[in-house]
Amino acid sequence: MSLILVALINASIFSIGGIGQDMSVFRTPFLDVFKSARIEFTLKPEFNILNKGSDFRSKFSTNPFNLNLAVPVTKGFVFGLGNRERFSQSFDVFFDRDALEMHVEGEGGIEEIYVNLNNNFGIGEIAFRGSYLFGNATEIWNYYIADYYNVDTFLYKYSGKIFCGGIQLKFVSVSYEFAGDIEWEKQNSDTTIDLPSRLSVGLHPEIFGGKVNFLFEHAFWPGDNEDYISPTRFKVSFIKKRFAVGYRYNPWYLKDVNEHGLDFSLNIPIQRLGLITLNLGCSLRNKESLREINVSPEIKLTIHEIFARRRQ
Amino acid sequence: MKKCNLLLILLFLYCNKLPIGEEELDLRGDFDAYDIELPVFNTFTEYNKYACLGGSSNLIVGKNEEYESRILLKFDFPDSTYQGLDEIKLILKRNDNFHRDTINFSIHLVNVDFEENGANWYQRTNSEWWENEGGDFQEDSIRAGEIAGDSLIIEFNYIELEEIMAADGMIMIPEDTGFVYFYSDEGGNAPQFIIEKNEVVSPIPLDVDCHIVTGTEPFFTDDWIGSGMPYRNYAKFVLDSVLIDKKAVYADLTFEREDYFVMRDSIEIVIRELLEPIDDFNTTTGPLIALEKFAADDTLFSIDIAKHIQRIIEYPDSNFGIFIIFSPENYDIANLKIISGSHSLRVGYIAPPEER
Repeated sequence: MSLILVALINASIFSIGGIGQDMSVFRTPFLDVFKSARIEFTLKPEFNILNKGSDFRSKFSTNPFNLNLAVPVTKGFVFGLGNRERFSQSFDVFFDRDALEMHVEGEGGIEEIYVNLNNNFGIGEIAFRGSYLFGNATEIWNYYIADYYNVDTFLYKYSGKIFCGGIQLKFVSVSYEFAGDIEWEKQNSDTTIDLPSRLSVGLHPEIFGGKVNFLFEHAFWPGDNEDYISPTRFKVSFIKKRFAVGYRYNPWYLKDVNEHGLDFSLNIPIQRLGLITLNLGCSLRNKESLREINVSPEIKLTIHEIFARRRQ
Repeated sequence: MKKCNLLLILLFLYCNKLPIGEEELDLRGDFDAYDIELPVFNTFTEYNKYACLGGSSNLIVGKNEEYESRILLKFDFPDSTYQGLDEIKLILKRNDNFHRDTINFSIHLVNVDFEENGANWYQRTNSEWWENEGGDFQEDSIRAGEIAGDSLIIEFNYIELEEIMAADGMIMIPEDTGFVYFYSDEGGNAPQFIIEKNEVVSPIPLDVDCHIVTGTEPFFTDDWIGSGMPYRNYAKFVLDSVLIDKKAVYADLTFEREDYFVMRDSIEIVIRELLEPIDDFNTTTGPLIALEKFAADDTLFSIDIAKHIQRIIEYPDSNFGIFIIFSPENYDIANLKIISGSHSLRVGYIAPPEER
């Protein structure tokens, strides 16, 4: 069984369109690191169930480990470094219409390596992040007509950049992502696309002995790109002690694709090491009558107490 | 039991191939499938009666109303004088992959030098010709006999050994109809010339082993495929403009058999496309387009040549046609005569997907 699961490395079916599934929504440049260094390792497998009418089909995907490192340097400055997937172009879909059957598999996407330079000034944090974007994607189109079989392969190569800056005070944060572009090498042509600027506004009041995070996000796709819409998203979460629960509304930049999600988090402190965060994300994506149910249990190991002891 | 059910449900969900979400692919193109039959431009046969068969895995002796094949052998005797020998013999091992005929043969000494990769029915080297087609040899045979078993063992005496050493080689000639296939050096079981003295066996190194073939020359418009005497069937189809910018999923080339001569159970047919306008048998061809194995007595042959059609879709000026060929062309003596006008080519195509 596990072999079958590992063999099917796919993500959302909607990542067929555009430049794939945007994996960076609701992401701000703030590090929230004050005294000790921190290293985070994250694994986020995904289970997707496709549904249309009474038909179901399931898929599995797993992102490789993501790394996030944050190190206080001096005078409130914090240096950060990490990687994560920016756009996923992995998918797996079968097609059966009249005489033609197809099996189309996509794999890969656009990765991101980022560097943060933030400053904690007591009542808040100023953040700046620069990211290098890179990656490869492959699409294999298998065609079947009667007993005949043929195949096409598309290869894409990406490289680009994007920047983000922001300020966070006690109850409010604002960040803006800008100047993003990607050079896109295709088999028959090369092109450069501008990534959307993105404005994020956060409110973080303390209520009922916990903390509520509201995050509003609007992406501004460049006006000359008629294929994509500029969505407004929001996310609200409540954090109390070691527990967190949240709701997110994420309309995609691809037309007619909407996503509603719920997140549940539990922080488990580990003595003399740091923290394990277990996050269960569930979401429902839909486009007309096509639905995709996504379940993504995330495991994050945060190591910070080791560094705190050394500093002492 | 409940765990088992859960596993079965998960297995079903993960393994099924339901086309859920197939409409998402419409973002990348219009995927209706069509097919079309391409008209034949022309077909005919090119052949090479000067083919050299020194690289064959077999040594073939035999003849019928269409072909005659003779074996040329030459051994490199290191010593000019042999005395006190117990046994002198030539051994050829039969290749069981071919039907067994029993035939009579004779061995003659060859008067002139010849080359393994230069000898054919007409030439003894790449630049020199036999005085007599089929080899220049002594009229009187040095040995004659019948080939019947798994191997042929011919014993010689001292006088014959002296003659063999003095000659430029030997030729084995069929005396009646039928064909026998022996392994050649390239086939891994080379002919052996053995000298035995005081129970010590000394093999004589093999210098040259090959066979030379003559066969029927087809009329220009005949559609033949052949090996030994290699025939290449040329076919060219007219590209329909409806295929421009399309993706050929399949291109089913079919033709029907009129007659055949094959001494094994199966044949392999390959397709090579021409890289320049047809000139002769040796017109430059590209890499393999298709390879299919068929039963020797099949009557209808079907080969997918989508690679060729896709290439001429992308480069319409490169439609120089294809060669239909036996593979390999030097392995045996065989032919397949195709019914004229039976070539047809049906192409299934779609509009190709767009890139992201």
